[in-house]
Amino acid sequence: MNDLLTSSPVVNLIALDLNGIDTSYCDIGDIILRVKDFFVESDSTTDTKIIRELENSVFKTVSKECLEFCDSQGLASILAECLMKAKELFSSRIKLSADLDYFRDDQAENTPHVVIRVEVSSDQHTAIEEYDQFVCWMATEIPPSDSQHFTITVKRV
Amino acid sequence: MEPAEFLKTAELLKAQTEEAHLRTSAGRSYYAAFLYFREHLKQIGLEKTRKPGYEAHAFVIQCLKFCEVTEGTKASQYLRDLQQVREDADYHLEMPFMQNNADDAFLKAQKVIEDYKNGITAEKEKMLLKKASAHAKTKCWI
Repeated sequence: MNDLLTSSPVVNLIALDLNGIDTSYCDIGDIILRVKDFFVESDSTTDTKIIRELENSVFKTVSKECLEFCDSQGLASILAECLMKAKELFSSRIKLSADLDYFRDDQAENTPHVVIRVEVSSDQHTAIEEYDQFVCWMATEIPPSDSQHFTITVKRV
Repeated sequence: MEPAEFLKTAELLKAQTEEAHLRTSAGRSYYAAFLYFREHLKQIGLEKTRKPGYEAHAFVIQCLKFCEVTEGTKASQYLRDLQQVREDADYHLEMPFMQNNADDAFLKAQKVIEDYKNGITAEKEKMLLKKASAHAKTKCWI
């Protein structure tokens, strides 16, 4: 990994998820965690942990462009906080990712924003309630000058 | 016409099974919520007077974002997220769009309007108008 990636708070956050276990997959473009790979390599003495990991499995992707944008705008720690909070709040999380996008119809094309996408397997009531908690957290904890650069979408699959 | 009329259209569309209907439903849900807040801000005295057609969405969403009233800030985030869903639905045709997505956009649009109506007070709205207007001035929107 290059200096930009290793120095990023987001990478530090992702490293926290590993609990000392080596990542089995890392791509230059994306930083990808595969908890399921840990499952394959584990022995029987860690069954309880494996099950817990499997229950809380996360397939997390943060694009290189997103990291670069956040680092350049001083938003990397905010992104890390948002990912951490999403991980905490969305109970049936299947996938968590962050990428850049542009609003086509309204704002200048050269002004990107970060899109955090969460895929969950929960029912509508739970998904909307957890989404609402995330929004309340953002409204109270993240300054508007920072949160204006972030959107979150929750997809039930 | 009341912006909420678009919610009825969204509901009719999401009752269909074709993906194009579901994607269009999400767009109507977003516009129902966005137009509700645009009209509400206008009612209380905040309207984009300079280049009204330019950054019309950003005007509403950012004025609410910087209003320093939780009800407004929360509504802003809902609108921005719904705007993202609407753009995904209309532009990202490679991304799957299912019944769940249309249902959730509809519910969020209903909820953001209801939560705001239930939570806002005259005193909070006075503060909202003051702070949102100040932000609009810094952006040369009014």
